[in-house]
Amino acid sequence: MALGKVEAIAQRLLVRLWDDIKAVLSDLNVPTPRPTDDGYRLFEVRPVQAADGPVEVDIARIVFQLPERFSAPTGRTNLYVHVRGRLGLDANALQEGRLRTTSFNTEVAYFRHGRAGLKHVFGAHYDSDAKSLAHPVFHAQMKCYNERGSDVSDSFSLDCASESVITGVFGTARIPTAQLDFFSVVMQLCADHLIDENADDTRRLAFNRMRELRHRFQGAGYAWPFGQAAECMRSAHWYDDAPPIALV
Amino acid sequence: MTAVLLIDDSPELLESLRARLAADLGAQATVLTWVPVDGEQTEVTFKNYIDNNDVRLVVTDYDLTRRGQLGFFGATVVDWCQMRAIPVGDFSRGNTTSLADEPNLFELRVPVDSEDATVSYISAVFRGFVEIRATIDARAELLRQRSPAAALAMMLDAKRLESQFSQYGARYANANPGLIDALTEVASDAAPPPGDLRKIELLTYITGHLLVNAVLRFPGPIAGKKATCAYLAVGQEEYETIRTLLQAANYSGPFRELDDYLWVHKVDETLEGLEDHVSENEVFQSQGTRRRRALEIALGRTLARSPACTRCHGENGGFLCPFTRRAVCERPDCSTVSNVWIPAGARLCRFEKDFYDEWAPILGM
Repeated sequence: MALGKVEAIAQRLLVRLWDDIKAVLSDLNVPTPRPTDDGYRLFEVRPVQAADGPVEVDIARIVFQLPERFSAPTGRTNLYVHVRGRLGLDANALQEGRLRTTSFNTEVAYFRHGRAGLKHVFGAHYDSDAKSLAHPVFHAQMKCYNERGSDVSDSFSLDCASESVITGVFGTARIPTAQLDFFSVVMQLCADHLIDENADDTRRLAFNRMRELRHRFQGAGYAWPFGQAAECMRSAHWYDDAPPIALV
Repeated sequence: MTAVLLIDDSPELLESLRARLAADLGAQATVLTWVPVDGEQTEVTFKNYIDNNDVRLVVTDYDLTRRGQLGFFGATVVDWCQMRAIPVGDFSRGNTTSLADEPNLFELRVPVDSEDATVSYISAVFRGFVEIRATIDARAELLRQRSPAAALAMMLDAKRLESQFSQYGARYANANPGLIDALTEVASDAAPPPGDLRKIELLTYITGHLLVNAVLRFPGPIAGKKATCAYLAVGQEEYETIRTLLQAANYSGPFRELDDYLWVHKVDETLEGLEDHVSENEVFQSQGTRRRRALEIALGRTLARSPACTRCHGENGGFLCPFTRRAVCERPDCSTVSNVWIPAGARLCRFEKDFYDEWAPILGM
């Protein structure tokens, strides 16, 4: 991989952020994600195509092993979340040593492992689109990713094939969301599965550190043409105005 | 007065070491010596030394049997010290293969390459522990941090690195079961509440070993000469040259005498300034190559590579394999991370891939 200046900065900042996130995951007792948690493997920075154009980063597949709920019986980590995606990073911000999103795409696939084997129980992709008519800028669409069960089985030696319980799920509904880029999804996984009101101080502090780390990664809302979205993602701001046909 | 206790079954060698060490430490410590002899109740003698002196470091030879104490080895002394949370170093001059090169977390491996090396190491380690103890004595808030890693980060005025220190993730009780006994004792109903002194001793013991045997041994937030050269993708013969550019990164904390250590985040800050001079049109194969290029521009000359790598001949660098002691890079065919054999906080360390492929299936690397 050839690294120009902005690509090198992007790789360096992403690896540093990820290393700090790994420290938090360790404090939250998350088993090492597989097949690798090596930041240099996880973030593949593509060569920049145009001067001042965004830096595109592919995020390789990574599988987290988690309890289904924080209150799950000790040691019962039977949920596997497969994540992969892409980030677009603003080149000017990188030159200033900051990570700022221009676009993203995140695909998540949840698998539950139990006596009945490995079940694909939820799948969705999250991305953004400010240009298309009547698209919420940040949204989720459900999707079946059952084929990714083999990554889970191989990574964690589960010795069973995945069976989907969401085959044929309706995928056209664009559900407005917040910005669920890769780092947001990791944060969400922590919130959903690794902490609740019964958590001890170690976990609470780790979770707070994770929230602080998120400030090192700016969202894409600043770029949207309808200004409120930059600061507020209430439903009033999920959709741009639909301009009259005559103006299209 | 604080003291170092030296134990050896060779009075001649012991006296030579004592004299050299006493000269080196001067008024900082009394150097006590003990030659175990036949018929002696060794545990009682040891207890007397500890109870009657302020011993901050014990150093023992591996084989203590020559004067009739059959079965008495340095390993026993190490156990006694670990039970009492006293730093202990051991060495083996007679048979150098008796001890592994790598100590466990709560054990110090004293070099025996030369008496100079032995004396320098013991002095540096002694002063390091004494310095940590003095800092904890002076800053009561260190006792109230949430972990040894947090205390260490505060002690070194590097709170921002706390999470990285915590990734050295030692399970302290696994490394020294004596600590469990110590805690069980103070937690028993019959025991009086532990005073600050005992807490200070234990925090000194744990943070000192965390620093000297984990953080400084496996480069991450702090790097010695070899790791710095690997990080900057230059040959070690260039160290003195590049060092002149990195004054702002000096590490001046405990155990600094063991190597020439630098704060890596401050090295990065210096490099980020220098990288502004790298042409926008230049592309590089690795982060290490970029760093070296920034240094080369600042110095106005080409820097030598580390030639040991058979894959890129030192072109890339960026990391150090702590087992082969060679520079490696992030290329998939060059190195890999390990969360078992290398602490996660050691972000400058990666396994050389050939070595990993050969041994990981057996050793679970």
